[in-house]
Amino acid sequence: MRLFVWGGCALLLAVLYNYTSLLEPLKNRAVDLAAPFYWVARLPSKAEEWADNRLMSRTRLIQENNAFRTENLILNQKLQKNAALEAENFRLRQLLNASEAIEDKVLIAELIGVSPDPLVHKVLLNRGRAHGVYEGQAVLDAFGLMGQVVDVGERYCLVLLITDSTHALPVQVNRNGVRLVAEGVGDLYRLKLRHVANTLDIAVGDLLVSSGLGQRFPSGYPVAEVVAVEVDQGQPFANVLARPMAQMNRSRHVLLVFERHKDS
Amino acid sequence: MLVERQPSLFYSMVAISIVLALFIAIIPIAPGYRVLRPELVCLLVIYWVISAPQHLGVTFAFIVGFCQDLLEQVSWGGHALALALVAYICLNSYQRIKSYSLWHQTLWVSVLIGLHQVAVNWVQSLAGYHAPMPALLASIVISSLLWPVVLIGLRRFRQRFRLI
Repeated sequence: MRLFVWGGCALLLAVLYNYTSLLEPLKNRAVDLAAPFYWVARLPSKAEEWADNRLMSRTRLIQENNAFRTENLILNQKLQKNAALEAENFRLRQLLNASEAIEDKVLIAELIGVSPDPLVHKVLLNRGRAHGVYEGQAVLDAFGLMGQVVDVGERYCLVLLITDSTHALPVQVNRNGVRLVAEGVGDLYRLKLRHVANTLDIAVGDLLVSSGLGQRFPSGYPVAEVVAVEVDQGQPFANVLARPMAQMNRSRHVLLVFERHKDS
Repeated sequence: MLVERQPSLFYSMVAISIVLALFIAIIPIAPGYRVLRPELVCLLVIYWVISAPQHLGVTFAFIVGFCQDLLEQVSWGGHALALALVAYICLNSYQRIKSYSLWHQTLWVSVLIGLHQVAVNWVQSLAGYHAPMPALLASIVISSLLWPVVLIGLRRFRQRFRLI
């Protein structure tokens, strides 16, 4: 008897969770509830990091500092060129009467937990509604697009990575602008491109950038690099695999991108 | 029985062990090794239900399962359903399970874990995730090999501090 009552409850929960949006507010609450547990579970690795910071030798620090200084110099030099290019781009866009590309506002967040289930590629960040995070917001790391926010708590949010097997996003080949859809396959180092015609111009090494067509992700951020193109004339579509640019299982600090029109 | 003599002590022991198991369920593991994580929560539910079947049962299992669902941020109801099923079977067969030898018991527990995994994965598949067969089997083997450790460890602990 008890089994039927509680089993029925569990089934009802499962159905409501997966097929309706009734539990949406509760899901957002659950993010805040779960986050402290992840924080505690991360303490051992935190302690290691702390010890590492404390015990770093002076010579290593000096070495690192020098390396950073050089890197900074190089980046600054690139930035100078960028400023000129941006101005030129702006003028050309004005000539074309195109809307000006706006610089995106970003918020830095720290990754505090990853989904323990090997199939589910979700991560927990220490930013939430209180910091202006909203559902559907794009998440980047220093190398490319990582995912999007799916549940937002008051101080924490849950991010679905682009490699999750339930995720797909519209992309564009940077070289020629061909539009495609990249879907996750549940592997942190693989994305699969859907419906690529056998005759399409795509090659190994092509950079895929977000196209912004799904109205979810801002356009122009690097997503993945094509690593394999298999054309079998007997099949209707080519089999194309790509490797995400973002470091899915290494990045500790990520960026949440705000889109202008969603701010107001 | 401790549960009749000092119910508060017994229940706090259950709660502490379950909370520890929940922490182990979410401790970060490198992506390649995540399939090897044992289902410690399920093992503890089996242990506590067969050690106090008059007091802990399907409701207890459901609550623990729901906590695990909330913590792991997966489709709700999955672990709750699976653990409720496991607890129900334990309630109906605890006398037999208790009389089995350790290895016989381990075999029986592996069947229960298998059932748990199948139920969890069925609910997960509603959300679009399909676990590959080897991952399920690895988890079953590792979890059931841990059963003797859990059983003997907890028994020693309770004997040592006279919490029987």
